[in-house]
Amino acid sequence: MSQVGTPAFDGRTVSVPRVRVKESTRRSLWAYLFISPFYLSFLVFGLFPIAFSFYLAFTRWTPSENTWVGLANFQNMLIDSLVHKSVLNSLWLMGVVTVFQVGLALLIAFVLNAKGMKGRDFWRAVLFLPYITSPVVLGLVWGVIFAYNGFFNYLLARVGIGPVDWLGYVTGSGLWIKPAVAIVTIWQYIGWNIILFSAGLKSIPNELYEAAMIDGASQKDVLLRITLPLLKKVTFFIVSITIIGSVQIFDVPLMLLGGVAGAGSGTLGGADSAGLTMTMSLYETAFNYGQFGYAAAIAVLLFAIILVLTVVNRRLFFRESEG
Amino acid sequence: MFRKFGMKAVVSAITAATVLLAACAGGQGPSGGSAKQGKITVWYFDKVSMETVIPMFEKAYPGVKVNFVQQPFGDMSKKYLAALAAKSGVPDVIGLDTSMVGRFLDAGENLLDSNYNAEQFRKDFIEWKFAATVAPNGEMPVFPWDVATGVMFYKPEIFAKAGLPTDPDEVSKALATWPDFIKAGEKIAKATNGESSIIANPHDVFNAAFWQNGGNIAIGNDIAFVKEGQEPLALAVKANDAAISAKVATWSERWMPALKSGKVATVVMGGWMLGNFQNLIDKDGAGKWRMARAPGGAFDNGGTYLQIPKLAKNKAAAWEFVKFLTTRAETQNAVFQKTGIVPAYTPAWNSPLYNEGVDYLGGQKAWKLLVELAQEVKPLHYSAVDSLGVDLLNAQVDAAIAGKTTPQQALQTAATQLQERAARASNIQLKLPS
Amino acid sequence: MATMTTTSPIRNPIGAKALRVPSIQKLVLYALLGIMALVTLFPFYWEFVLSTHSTGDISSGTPSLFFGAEMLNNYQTLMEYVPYFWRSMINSFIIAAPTTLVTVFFSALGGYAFARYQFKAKEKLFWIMLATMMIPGQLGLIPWYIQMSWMGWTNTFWPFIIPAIGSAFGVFWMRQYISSAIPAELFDAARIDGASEFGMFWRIALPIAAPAAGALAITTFIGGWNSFLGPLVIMQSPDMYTYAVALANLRGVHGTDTAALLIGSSIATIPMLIVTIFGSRKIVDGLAAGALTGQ
Repeated sequence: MSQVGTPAFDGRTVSVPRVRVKESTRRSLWAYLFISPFYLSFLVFGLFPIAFSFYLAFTRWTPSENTWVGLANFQNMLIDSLVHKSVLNSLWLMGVVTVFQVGLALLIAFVLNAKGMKGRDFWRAVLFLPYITSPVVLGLVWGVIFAYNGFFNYLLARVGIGPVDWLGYVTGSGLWIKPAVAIVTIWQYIGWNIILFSAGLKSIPNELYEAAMIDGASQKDVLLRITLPLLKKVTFFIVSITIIGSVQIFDVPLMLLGGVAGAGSGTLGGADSAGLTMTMSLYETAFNYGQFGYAAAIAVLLFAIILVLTVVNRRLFFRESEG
Repeated sequence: MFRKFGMKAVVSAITAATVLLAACAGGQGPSGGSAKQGKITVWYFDKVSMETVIPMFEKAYPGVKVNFVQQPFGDMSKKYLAALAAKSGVPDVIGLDTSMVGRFLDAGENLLDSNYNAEQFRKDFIEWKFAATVAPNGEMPVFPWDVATGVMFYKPEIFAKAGLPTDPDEVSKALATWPDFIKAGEKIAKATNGESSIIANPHDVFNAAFWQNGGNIAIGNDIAFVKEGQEPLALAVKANDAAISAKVATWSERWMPALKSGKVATVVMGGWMLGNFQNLIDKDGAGKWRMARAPGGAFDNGGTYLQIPKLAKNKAAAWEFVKFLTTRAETQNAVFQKTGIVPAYTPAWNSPLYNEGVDYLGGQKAWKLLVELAQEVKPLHYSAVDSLGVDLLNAQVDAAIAGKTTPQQALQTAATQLQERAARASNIQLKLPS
Repeated sequence: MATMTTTSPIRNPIGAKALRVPSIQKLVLYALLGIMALVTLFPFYWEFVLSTHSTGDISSGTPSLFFGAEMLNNYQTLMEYVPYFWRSMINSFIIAAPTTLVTVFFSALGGYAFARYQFKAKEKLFWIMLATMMIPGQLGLIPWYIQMSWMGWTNTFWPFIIPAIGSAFGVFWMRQYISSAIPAELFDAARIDGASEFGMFWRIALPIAAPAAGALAITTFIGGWNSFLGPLVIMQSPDMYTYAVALANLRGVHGTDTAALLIGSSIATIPMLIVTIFGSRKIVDGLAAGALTGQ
């Protein structure tokens, strides 16, 4: 973990010669004072619900029962095909959303950052806008867009592509449900990634590029040897939060598929349960089926999966570099 | 979602009379004096019915103040679950939709207890609805309110094109069974060159036919849907093979437009769909729709039950309110006039209101039909695994309709899934049908 | 890889120009951006368009791309079903605005302390931040509600404002920015001038960290404004509902008046549009990658 650049002044505050013991005590008192509201509030309000959820995972907790069952919930998950399905769906979404969202965002950030591009602020503000959409509107508007005779298929028909059953209502096939969910998710969050990448690009000093140009480096060299390496940490941050967010996709499939009876039950993620994500699964298990203990166990599994993904992601990013 | 039903003149006269009557009858509550004191909080998702009945109640019980809190239909149960878990913020009365009852069987006061003695009202209620309120453990955690009888709404114009009868009585006879219905569907598809279909999607056939068989997920500890769902699923698959549906998902954004445009010619659902037609689907469509008996007979589709939570603070006043709302013809009919909610309290049906014609249905005497059908519904039972069972079942029904599995296999799979999950996560041991 | 953190972004206020682009290529890029913007804006545009059509007409085969004439009708329906709609907008604001202030202030304060003083919690903080994001929040609803009712905070705004003090993401975010964007020399100079510890935070760190604080403020505000599940369970009376809870009342047992829902959502989108449009332009410019190099 030491490869992280330690902020320059972390050492300096200690090494300033005028600081006496008394002075440093006084200062660290201030430090604790500044941090205490955060820690207090986090311990009381942040940690309690999380700890409680972990406790629940080892109980059978329903509206009428509260029994310690040890690992039984986890054993049950091993043979629960719906949970397996939701894990696979969530991983699929995580993979696709992360690759496309991060890739596209990087590309657009490059374009925005290209020399002489005008109206950067405008484009970035526009691309950030979907972030403000509420889930309800998301479901309504995108539901209409993805409908079988909806707007998307209308456009596709214009270029000669036959109607796609995005939400699986017509053919009963869930083939296109996950792509639809991925599209909406990427649409909603890509702007945030673009802003982060733009900020990353901007912080690369011009002198580096100028020096490279003087040395006769090609654009490709500049990209591969200067830009991308210097974006590594921003990229790591973006990939991390994208993974964490996309594995927990919840609103989008619920709103796109929810409340539709008669052809695919919304709560189980539509046709073939193709839209059933882990968060959806635990949400329905808790609030619709009243199985809070089991839902908490799914949450713990989800947490474990995300933790593994984050650690692996970190290894992949920083494997060969500085120990 | 319902508003006026075009009987405004009668409404105002009768409401005035009702309020007077209610005011005079205020002292009827059997419980002690404390019942008429204090404040009660009521949670429900329909505003119009509560705003009709609460002023009447407060007039009759001047000591009781009712705090009505409108709740979002889809999310009320989450809020209730949270309140129950925290033992805090629980209302005194909550109106539960059919789909929510199973989840809260443990949460309600047993109204068969001597302080409530709800048994005395059994004779006044439609039998199946009152019987449905009794949970597997013999307690009665909810009280019946309305009947949501299922019917078939149809478009005579499209029926005429296909050479089918258009008069409600004749339609009821000609389409008395599901095979009749499928045949009629083929005629419509042929006559309109596929422009119109008789039903939105095959799953709707399953739902209605399943409800006609009772529509039970579990009766006591026995999984019931394998048996009750067998023939309905066969019908749905047949309907799919016969290509009589428009393949529009019910409640999807395409559904209402399809009904309006005539792409879909019938809806087999609760009578409350009338309110949707009037207010949402086709505001200017008066006269374009009629109501007939559903193929396959009567069924229950929706409806509300009232619960007094065990954690309620003012149970005595809550019980007075429940009784005031559900066991008085005046109150029930005042609500009926505003909303079209047909009471399960049978003495209310004596009112001439139920013989009136409904303008939107071309003056058809639809209320009479609803009341008639209400008496033919098969018994139904609630279970704690209802929501889980319905979800698992629906997913398998779709798979069977799509031809991915056989109907028998689909029902078995859903049953096994339900059994396993109920046993492990809820400690409810269900038996598969032998 | 230490280059990044040692390169302070304020030394490079103009921004790097990575690519040199000929003008024809530039046209192509503009066209691409234009298409992206269209794709991005279309659902918004359509939300507003659909809110001017009747529920029956929405998505009737070929949904209209142009404004209709039903807006007033839809608005009236909204008012009829949800007469407390405007009150609920105010409530959303009462949740969003203080939550934003509290989150930004305490996150900046905590982040400042982490960045300025000797703590070994750098790594820990990052993982705490990530961990809080890894736990699906939906499940915490019940314990959270239990806790709030213990505190007697049901039907109040406190459950949204006070816990906002402890935003792990916020502290992490501000710490990263402050530690990389503000040279330590600045503080040393200030100390010589006799500035107090809080004074240094208030007068030096906070103004310089404004872009990061602004970004945090925007996301916090939007989160608070859109909050639904929390207010749903906490609020006991309709006059305390947020706009999202109020609009959920339109999704009724027997169908939804989509048009009324859309007009309500459109109205509720406007404040966020304003915040985003006026906020994000300044912030993006000031924000630089130093804030994001965290692990």
